[in-house]
Amino acid sequence: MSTKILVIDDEKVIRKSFILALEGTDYQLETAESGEKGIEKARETKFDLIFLDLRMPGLDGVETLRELWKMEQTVPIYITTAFYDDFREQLQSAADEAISFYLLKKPVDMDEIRSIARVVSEHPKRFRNSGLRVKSLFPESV
Amino acid sequence: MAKERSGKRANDLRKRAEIILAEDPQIIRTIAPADIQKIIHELNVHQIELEMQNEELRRVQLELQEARDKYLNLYDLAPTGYFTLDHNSLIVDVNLAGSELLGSEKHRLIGTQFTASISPDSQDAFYFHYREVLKTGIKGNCELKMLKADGTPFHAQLISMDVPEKDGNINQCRTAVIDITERRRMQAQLIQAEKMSAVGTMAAGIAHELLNPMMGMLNFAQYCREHTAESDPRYPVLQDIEHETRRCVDIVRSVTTFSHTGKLGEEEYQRESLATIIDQVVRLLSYRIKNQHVSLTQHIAEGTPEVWIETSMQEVLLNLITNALDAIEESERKEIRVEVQGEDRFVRVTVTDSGCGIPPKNLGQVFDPFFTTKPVGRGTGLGLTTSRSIIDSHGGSITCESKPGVGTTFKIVLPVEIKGGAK
Repeated sequence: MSTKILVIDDEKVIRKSFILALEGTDYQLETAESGEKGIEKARETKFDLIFLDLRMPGLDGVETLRELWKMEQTVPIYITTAFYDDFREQLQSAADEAISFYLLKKPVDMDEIRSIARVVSEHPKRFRNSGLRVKSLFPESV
Repeated sequence: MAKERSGKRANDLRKRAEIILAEDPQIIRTIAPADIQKIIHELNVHQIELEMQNEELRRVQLELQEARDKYLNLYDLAPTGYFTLDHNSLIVDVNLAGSELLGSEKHRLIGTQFTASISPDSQDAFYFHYREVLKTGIKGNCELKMLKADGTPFHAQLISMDVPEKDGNINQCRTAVIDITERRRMQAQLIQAEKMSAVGTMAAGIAHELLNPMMGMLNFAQYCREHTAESDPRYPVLQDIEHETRRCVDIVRSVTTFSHTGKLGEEEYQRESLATIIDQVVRLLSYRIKNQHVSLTQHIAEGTPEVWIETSMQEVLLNLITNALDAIEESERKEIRVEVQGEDRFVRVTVTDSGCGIPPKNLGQVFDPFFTTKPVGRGTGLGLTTSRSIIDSHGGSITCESKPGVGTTFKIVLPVEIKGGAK
């Protein structure tokens, strides 16, 4: 069964970056342009990996993270953002509540996108509940 | 002195009165004895009255003297430079602060032109200021450039007030001179800092907006390159686009880092206790520490001085403690020890774990970029490289000791006094 990936970002250019990076691979990629749409998609499908933007109109990234966490606690969620300082406090309180997530700094290039997807699909257990990671702690290429 | 003078005057009066009496002795003889009694009584009363008046006069005179001394003290010893100028702006009097301000002695200044101490480009400003005060009698205020006796210029604030004479004419002015060079400098600095802060905030906003499209550009260029044969002449051009985009990203990142603090250069550094930073990091990792059943102990030596650190120091400690947590994941003993100790003019921080250790052959490479011993999916191979560059920028050093099977110790040494290393 192929790995299912969800990208939640209001910027088309970011969603397209993920689409191009994973084009021609076996991964199934879905995109959502808002937190609300992302949650909706996550309700319909069980994803193996989620990339989530922080600053979005409507539900922001941290609120979306909480909702996603309520639904499912084994999916690795990568907060993909250019600037998470504005959300530092909210992220800290999410971390204090033992919500697990990773921080990934934009821009993320193709190699990084692919290596994260690969590592998550090859070693899914490693990502379960492993707690907060800070500052671009993305898995590197093999 | 005053008492002596008034005594002498009384003696003179007495002598003159006796002469008058001697010239016409009939004055007393023609008075009836009953009247004489009355006169003596009157005289006694007068004498007492006069003595009382005399006493009152003496008291008032002393008070005046005191007031005059007080005024002279206030004038002379006032911390502000006072100049009394006549209608031609000649210096009539100057206090100590005034002569000090101009770097000249009081007696050299009195009688000279005050305008000699006004910078040529401020002469007009002074002329208008002074004329206005003399004409209207209203307190005037102006800022101009003045010169000390040795020619050193300084910025001064002048507050002038007329000194009305008995006939109501205004012929003199008292001018307070305040050196505002330092105030001017601080104001300029403040304005500059505010400008920079506004520019920084704007730059951060722009930088943030740029990162999303840059991520697109980077990925689109990579996509095109991947779909171009290496032999194609467009291939290296696409590589260049990728390379240049990354360069833009670096610039934008440095702008966001710079402006995030909202401060300039050295001011990003703050004097802080490393214990506080360690607490923050431990709190950040508390969930993992608890979940992994790790015993993390902190030993902060008493009296450890604060050091000049940037917020990035948190990242260093986060890296070291995260590394330690990773290292002990598979170990039986799960212990991390963080120690902080002051040593002469340095503060030493050590992070020791009871983990698997680093084989001697790898020890020399731990700070190299992209070197990692962690399993796939863990670590970027950049944590220690970044840490070392942060420590370098603080003027400190970071070293690593390790025994396979026993554990690893990272040691950071930071200078106490130096702010931002070589800066």
